[in-house]
Amino acid sequence: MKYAYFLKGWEEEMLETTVLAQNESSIEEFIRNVKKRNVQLLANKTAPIMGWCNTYVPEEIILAAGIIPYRIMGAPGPLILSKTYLCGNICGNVQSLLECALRGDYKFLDGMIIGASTDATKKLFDSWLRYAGTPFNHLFDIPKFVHEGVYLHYRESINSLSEEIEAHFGNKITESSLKEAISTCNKTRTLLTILSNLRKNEKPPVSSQKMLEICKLAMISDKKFFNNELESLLSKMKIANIKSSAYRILLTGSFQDQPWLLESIEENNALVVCEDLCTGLRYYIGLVDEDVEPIEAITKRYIEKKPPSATMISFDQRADFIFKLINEFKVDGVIYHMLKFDDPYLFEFPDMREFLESKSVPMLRIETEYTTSAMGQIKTRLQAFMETLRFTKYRKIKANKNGQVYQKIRI
Amino acid sequence: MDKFTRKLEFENLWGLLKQKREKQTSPFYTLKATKLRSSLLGRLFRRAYQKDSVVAWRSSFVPSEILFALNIIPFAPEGVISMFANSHLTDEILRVAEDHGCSRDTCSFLRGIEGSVINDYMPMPDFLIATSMYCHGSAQVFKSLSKKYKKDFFYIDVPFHYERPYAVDYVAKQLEGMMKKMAEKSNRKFDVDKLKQTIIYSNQARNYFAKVNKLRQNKPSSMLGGEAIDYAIMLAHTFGLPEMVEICKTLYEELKERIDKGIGAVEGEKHRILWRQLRPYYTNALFDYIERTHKAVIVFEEANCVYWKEMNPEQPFKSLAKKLLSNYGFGQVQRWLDFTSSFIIDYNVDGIIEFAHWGCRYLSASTQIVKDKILQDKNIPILVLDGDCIDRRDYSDGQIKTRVDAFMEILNRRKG
Repeated sequence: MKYAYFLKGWEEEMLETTVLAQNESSIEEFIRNVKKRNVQLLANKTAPIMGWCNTYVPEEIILAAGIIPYRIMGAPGPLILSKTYLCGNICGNVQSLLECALRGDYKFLDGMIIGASTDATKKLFDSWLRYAGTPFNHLFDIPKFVHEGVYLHYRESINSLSEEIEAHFGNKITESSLKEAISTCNKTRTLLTILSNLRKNEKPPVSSQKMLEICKLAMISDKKFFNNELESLLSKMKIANIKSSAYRILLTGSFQDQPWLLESIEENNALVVCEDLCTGLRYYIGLVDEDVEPIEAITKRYIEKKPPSATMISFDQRADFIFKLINEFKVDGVIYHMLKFDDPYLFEFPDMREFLESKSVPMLRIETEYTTSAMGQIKTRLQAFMETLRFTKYRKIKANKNGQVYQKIRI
Repeated sequence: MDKFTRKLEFENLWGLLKQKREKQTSPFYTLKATKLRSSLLGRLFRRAYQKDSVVAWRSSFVPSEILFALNIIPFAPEGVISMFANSHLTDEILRVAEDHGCSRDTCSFLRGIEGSVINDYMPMPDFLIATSMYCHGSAQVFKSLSKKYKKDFFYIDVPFHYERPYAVDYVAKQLEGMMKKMAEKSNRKFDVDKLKQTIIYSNQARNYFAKVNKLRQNKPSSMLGGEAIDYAIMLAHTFGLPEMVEICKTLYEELKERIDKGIGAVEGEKHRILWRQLRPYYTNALFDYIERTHKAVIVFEEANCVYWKEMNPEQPFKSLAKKLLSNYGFGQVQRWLDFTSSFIIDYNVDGIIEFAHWGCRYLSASTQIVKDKILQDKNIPILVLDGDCIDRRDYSDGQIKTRVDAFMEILNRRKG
């Protein structure tokens, strides 16, 4: 919290509007600067750019080879070209990635690393290679189990990726370049965590939409520049200790990089205070130990320290992590978002619902197709959920006064 | 849950079978080996419900040889769901799973398992084992069920880059560790000699089955695809048993006899079809229509491919690891394409039919690449039938038959 100032007493009411406006303006300025730099970076390429998808792909290796890691993301809209090459019953995000590649959105990439996290992404690689190929293509194999026994598998994946990158780009990955890359990535993660943690306050100084945008920028920008700018932003951020009646929401589930879902949630007197998403906490929580042998440390970070996604066969770790977030961020309700055909989350959902029910945490399940097509229906369901939260919150207060545990609610 | 509950599960299942079963008489079971196969699977199925059996639920590809070496009964829930579908028992089971929160977009084999567990139809496992091959969902479901049953879950992590030098030892070590732990937990002896013996049986059965596949290259085809495709489940489930050797030997001898006598599976064979993926288990009409009505014999099913080499009993774990890693569908699509291309030549194929199971992203997502490459390189037409192997609610017999008719017209025209 060293970057934040706490204001107390009557001043906060007076300064409320000013503080919020100042924060917003600082964030806007930060985003403008980073985006401007990104445009320059793409226009005057000084280093190769490597596309990647899946948060289990170690960016450190790419950076250590003097290459800029660039997370590719899809774009909402009709899927026309990808339908020709992939079957229709595959996750919309995967289809959208291929759609963007086929229509030339990623022509600037010098290479692509696809994380083999699910059956769908393994197959995306086959189609990518044949129909959208970049000069360098690599399928990064990921063990699906959080256990020491799979370290060897992940280490071998790193070694193979390093060898192929070195052979293709002619750039050597040395121990010192790897250590420097680890330090840079750790700094990005630390700064993002600090920014996200500011939302533990009742009135978060950064909205979920902006947090999402910043996290996405972290994945596609020159990391050193990004870190400097974010550090400067954090020094300007101020927290106003203002009361808020908004429901505090944790969003978890499938890949989500579009702000429309967050906007829809927050239209209903709710605040998304943390996102257990691949474009959220699952990207930046967990540091690589800088005092350990680099490959060993990277392996440990990605297999054990990083919050697991549902693709890892590790429901207990996921559930514990989410419950920890619920307590830390004082969450009133959880929204579980699933992309249609995204199997890991579709299969996980019944267990997660049971878990949250056992903890008396209200939960809403939303299924989308990576587009805004069903927005009307989703908005209605969100409104109903917020009504339930109002009821639950009231009962929670009442029950606490009486020293009773409030009743479970199933939605 | 104690072992006594298996009685309850069996009673539940028995009640279901008695009340609602719609018995389908298969028009395909013409061979003695097929009857032996059904009898063996039936025996294993019944033993899985016995109070004193040690039962391991295994997802596809988990090596059964290890389980037989420990005298543990393998139980393949996916296979059992296909059996339920065959008797039209899955409608209710799938509905129960969906009510429980399972999405209808997920694989119906796995949804069926969840529904059957909720309804207490499945025998309580002592162990649950899954691999990282093919189906990611099965590992998730097994892990979840292991928690429900409070039983040990084993996960065999098989590297997708099967060719990397560390892969064999990495998988072998996991298999050995699993066997040791299972032996310890079930008070069985970790007996490598017994494992070697199961590998010897497995090799013998493998060799007969490979010979069967070779015989099926004969023109006219000696075996109907409708009968052969159900052998696929055995390929994973019963290797390591001496009975399996007998079944494969019988099958080989029966087909050889048919060939020697000049008997074809279908009189007047017109077209030779290669079948990709599995089949709709709730109907026999599709295969019957293709093979008997159109005289287009399914000469080979990829699921029946003996893709692995004979194993070395002296290195049981390494051999089993190699078997897992040599699966043609595992790895990048080019590996599978190479197999398909060789089947086209070996079996003198005129056309390919693929039944694309709705819930399977892994198998269905490669379809377009296969279509492009096979058409381009081999000039063989492919019919892709989108459907579901278990869930019959969206199956439209008329539509499917219309598409089969159109495909047969293409094949007829190509033959002039």
